Amino acid sequence: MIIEDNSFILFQSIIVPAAFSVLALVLGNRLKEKTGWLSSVILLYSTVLIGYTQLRLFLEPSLEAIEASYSWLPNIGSLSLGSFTLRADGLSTPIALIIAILCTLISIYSVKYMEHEHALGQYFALYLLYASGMIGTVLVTNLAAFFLFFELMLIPSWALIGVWGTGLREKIAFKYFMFTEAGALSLLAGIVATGFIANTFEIFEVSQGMVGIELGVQIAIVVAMLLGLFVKMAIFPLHTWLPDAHAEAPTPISALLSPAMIGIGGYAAIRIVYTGFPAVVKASTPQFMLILSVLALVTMTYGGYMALAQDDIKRLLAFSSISQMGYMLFGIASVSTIGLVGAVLLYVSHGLGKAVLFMVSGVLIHEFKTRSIKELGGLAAKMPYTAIATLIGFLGLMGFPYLIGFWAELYIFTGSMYTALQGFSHLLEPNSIRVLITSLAIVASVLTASYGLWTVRRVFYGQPTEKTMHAKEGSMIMIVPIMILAALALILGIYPGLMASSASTYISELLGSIG
Amino acid sequence: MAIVPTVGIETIPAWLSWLFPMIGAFLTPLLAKINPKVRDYGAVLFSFLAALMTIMLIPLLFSVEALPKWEVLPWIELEGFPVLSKIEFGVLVDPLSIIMANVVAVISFLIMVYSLGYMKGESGLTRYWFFMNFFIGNMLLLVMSENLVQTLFGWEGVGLCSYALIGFWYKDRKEDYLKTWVGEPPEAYPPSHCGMKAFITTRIGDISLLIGIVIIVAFTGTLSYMELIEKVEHLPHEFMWILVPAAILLFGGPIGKSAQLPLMEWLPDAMAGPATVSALIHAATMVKAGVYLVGRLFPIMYVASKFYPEMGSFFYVVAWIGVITAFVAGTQAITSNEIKKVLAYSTVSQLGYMMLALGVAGTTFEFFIGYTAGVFHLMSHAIFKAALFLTAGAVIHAVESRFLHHMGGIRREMPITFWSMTLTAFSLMGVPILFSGFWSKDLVLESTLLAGQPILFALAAITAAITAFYSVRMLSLTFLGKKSKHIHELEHEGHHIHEAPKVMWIPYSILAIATVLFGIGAITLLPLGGFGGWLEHTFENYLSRLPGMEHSSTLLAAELATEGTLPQELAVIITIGTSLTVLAIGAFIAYKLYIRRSPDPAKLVGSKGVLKSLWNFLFRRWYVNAFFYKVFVYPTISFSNWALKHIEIGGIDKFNYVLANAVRGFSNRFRRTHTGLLNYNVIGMIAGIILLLILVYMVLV
Amino acid sequence: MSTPDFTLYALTAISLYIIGLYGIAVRRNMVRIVIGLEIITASVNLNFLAFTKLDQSLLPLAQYFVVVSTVIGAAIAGLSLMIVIQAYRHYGSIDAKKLSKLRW
Repeated sequence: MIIEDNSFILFQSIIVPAAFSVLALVLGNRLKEKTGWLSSVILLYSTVLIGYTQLRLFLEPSLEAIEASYSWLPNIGSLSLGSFTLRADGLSTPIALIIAILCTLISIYSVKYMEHEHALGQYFALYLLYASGMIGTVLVTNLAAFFLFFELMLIPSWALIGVWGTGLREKIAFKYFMFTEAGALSLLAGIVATGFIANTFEIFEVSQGMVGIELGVQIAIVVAMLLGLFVKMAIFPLHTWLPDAHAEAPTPISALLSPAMIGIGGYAAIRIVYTGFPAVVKASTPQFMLILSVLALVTMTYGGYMALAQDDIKRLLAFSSISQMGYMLFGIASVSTIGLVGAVLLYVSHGLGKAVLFMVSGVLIHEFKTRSIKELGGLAAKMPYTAIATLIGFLGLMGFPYLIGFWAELYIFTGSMYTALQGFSHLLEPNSIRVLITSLAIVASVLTASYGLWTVRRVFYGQPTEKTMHAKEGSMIMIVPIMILAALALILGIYPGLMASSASTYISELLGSIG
Repeated sequence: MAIVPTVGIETIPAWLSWLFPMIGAFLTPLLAKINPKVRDYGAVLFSFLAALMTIMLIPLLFSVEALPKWEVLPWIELEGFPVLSKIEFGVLVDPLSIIMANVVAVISFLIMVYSLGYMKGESGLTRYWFFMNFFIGNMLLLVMSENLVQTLFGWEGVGLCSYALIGFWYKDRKEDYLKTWVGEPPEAYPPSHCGMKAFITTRIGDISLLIGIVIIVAFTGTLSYMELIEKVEHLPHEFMWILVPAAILLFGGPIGKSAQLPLMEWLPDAMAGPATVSALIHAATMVKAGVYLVGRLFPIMYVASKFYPEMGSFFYVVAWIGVITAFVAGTQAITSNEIKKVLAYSTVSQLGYMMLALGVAGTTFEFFIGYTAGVFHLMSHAIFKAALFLTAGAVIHAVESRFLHHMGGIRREMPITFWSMTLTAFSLMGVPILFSGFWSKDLVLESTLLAGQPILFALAAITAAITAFYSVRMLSLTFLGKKSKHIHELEHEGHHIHEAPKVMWIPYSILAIATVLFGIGAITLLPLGGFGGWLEHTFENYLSRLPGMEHSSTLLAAELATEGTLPQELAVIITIGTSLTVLAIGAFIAYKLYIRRSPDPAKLVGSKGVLKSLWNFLFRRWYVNAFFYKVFVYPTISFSNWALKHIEIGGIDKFNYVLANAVRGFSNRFRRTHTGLLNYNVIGMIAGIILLLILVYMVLV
Repeated sequence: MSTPDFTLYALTAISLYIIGLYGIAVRRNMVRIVIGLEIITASVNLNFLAFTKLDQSLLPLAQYFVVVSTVIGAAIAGLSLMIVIQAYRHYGSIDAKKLSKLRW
């Protein structure tokens, strides 16, 4: 059963941050860094709205989605861009909720971290626009509107990196912008082609419109769109923008770029490919999806190896994100309900865990003015909360039980293995390549454990170095958001049903309709 | 006959047994804020409650027909999943879990009491108590769990606690080298490194376990032990082959957790942790988790081998890995210079025995003999090894060093410790009659004979000789002979060696007495076949009532039956005779070398030749440890550095810059057309007009 | 009437046009460029009148165009000469090559 959103809940959750960004800009000169409190209140409003939606979806299993539709642009000749449709269902709501929670808490974190920076009014205005862009991208189902918000995510983040970043920030911001824009253009090509061929931009009607279209054309469109999305997700070999962008961005923005934004590429992949192009999924399994699985495996492993070689802690986390996106892609490519739910849960787990880790790295940068792991050491005694949070963060990435990451990985791998062994019930040959790939993927998680534990050891154990001799715990304004996120990861780890049950209901229906 | 979950009050102690320590763990920081003493005693109280709960389950052992008590609560229900749609959360109370839970909880409580004395004055005790209680909770959760996912929670939880506790002295201070580090150059490691090593090595095992779990759930649709036992009979026969690699992969977890080859090297280095941690985690409980898991999976694999003989390879793998590990680790204990390391290698070796027993059990008709042998040896070993580690801790505390060559001749000063260590060491060696170790080890040997595996028997017997050797060596180097120079220095500084405080020696003397009691119990209960026989009877009764396990043959056992096995009485006689012989040989050689000091062991291996290289080989741990570093650790790091330089920066990222430079180069060339000279502009204009005219002409015509 | 016919006028106009283009395109002396511009203007005017040879009724329209065009041509001449004078004041020469600031 699908409900109409009559109280503009979804619309508000997107527009309110964008609208109030002007307020932040104006008040910024006076309030300076305290604007962060204002922006977090604004974002809290969005969080509450989305949280309410998720709660409704969780408590009412018969509720499939909450939709809203607003008429948008007039028709241009015979081409209609459709209406501005929003949809909160089991797939999009957990993701939107995580984005909203992260934006809210990181805004509080920014208050302390950015306290000595300039032009903070502009910073928070851009921040609000960025948040609005991300939430919007996830909630809209009209492809044209999706592209609008996709670009709306891009521009504020470019500005944020370019002005408040570190190192060669203008160049890095430019590289980030160009790269993602190139991908976005590929995505645009796919969207426009879809619009013309299927005569609609509404993702749920695209599958109807694609009936009867030659499979080669559909695959070409899907590949074009996936290219754009994979640039965003930083899948190998399109990932090179990510280490620089994440390392040199201001840490609160890194904590949003990595956990929240890149996973949106994965969400979009599920939404667009599975909902709009069922023929591609059905006809090309196992080949197309298998190739994606291999790509995911390569990304996972490559990210892990690169992370091992890093001394700069933010670059290490950036490569770790690349590796985690490999996991998400692996779940997406598993063509099974379990795997897709695992991918959604991985987004949640990576979102929470990586945000914790980036914020911890921010605490370290704030205290010691260095990003180099070599210069840090022996911190566990003086910074206990930070140490605990880091350990929880890395354990979550490793897929350790008691944290949501465990369920994410369990489901991703079970899903893929189930697809591989599905032959059993139909007395077909099991897909042994997929069995092998799944096994290799599980082995690759040893790399995650290695770089995680090694980093914890190098930074927190052993003897203090000269830089860390006079360490003290970070400010509570920075620590409390970190601990809240860690606690969330634990709660969801013990009861993932909060996010997973609505997701699984929706996704199983989705896959069921593909057949 | 299907077994369905039920709800009842008898299982409440099972739930509470792991809930109490977990609650205790999380209360520890709060209690610490009140008062350190409240925190300390509070922590011990929670472990006492856990022990109380498990003891309350013991009466159930005597009414085996009422078992298993299986209780589940819904946990995660995700409709729409083709498999794994309903994961439940519960307890499975059967003889195996009751025995294991009691071993864990009671020994944990004794060790917690000992910790009050051993860890007195250390900083970071809140962290210590938290992880100890969290450990006990997770271990009991693991023991009581009814499905593989819940087991994984407990399994990884104890792994985390092990990591945190091994690295307890994470500051890696070089001043504490004698007490807190482990190993000697070139393999000396600080505590934080050892914690990380333990975690990563067991992680590799866990990965294998996870792959196995994923295959099993994808194939059978369930992860609950009871449901798996029932389902195994009804699986489609053509695809049963997938269970074989799945089972062996599942065994990978125990290989890691129970420190079998090839993942054994983390355990000796885990000795960097406090002695209480070594006793609790690395002797009595966590490392037994692997054996426990094999025991849990045993009925499932056994029934599977009934229909599909190739499943037998699972049992052969278990048995062979067990016996080879036992042998290799035993030889490594001979040359170790640290008291706790000797015990660590010994633990690995004895764990091998347990695996051996469980492995051969799966290949016979009378599976319950080997099964009982494994479980009995688990119990027996937990008691005496925990005591050995606790006494070792007391000695290290007194002598302020972990090295055997810094000890010696302290028998008079520490009599209680000496007697506790001696009694439990005798149990380890398998000194006959009075010691439970003798009975349990003999049962293991007997089961290998009954399974018709003479080679395994021989290897196990040789290992028993080695065990006797290193035990006597350890005892004599620690307590007998002359005092070392180190001790003389200490006494010179005013630190005199004295007996451990009461709060420390009471726990380990209780354990020493227990090991003797179980030994005596074995004889006095002789009409019932001794304690071992009673266990056998209980297990036989219980296991054969599980679906598919009716006391009939597996195809594999039927195959073996044609080879002819020994009648039981003959096996018993051969076993007792062999074990006494090897005990005597091993002990005698050690006696000559270390008590009599003729020939002097130092001179024997000091001279060049075969003995020296053999000694070196054993001292360097058969180079297994070095192998892992050289082949896996360092190459991975260098590979990632190389890949970073050449693939990431030099290759892929370079492509971005190549592209950017190409564009810039092109536009550099192209912009030279902007000469700014009027004449050229006009010429260009004329050219353009001509071009347009031609185009128009072509279109129109 | 044996007035010269259309073809002759048209060819004259085109050749004048080409001469004028030559002046603009090739000559570096700014005054010559202006002269070239004027020649082009003249050729255009001639072209208009040439067409009246084809159709007599076009004559009023053509005359009208020529008058307007001549006036505009004068204005252009004045304007361009003014530019030349300014350029001379600025660069000290009437060489068009000197006006190359709008380059890469």
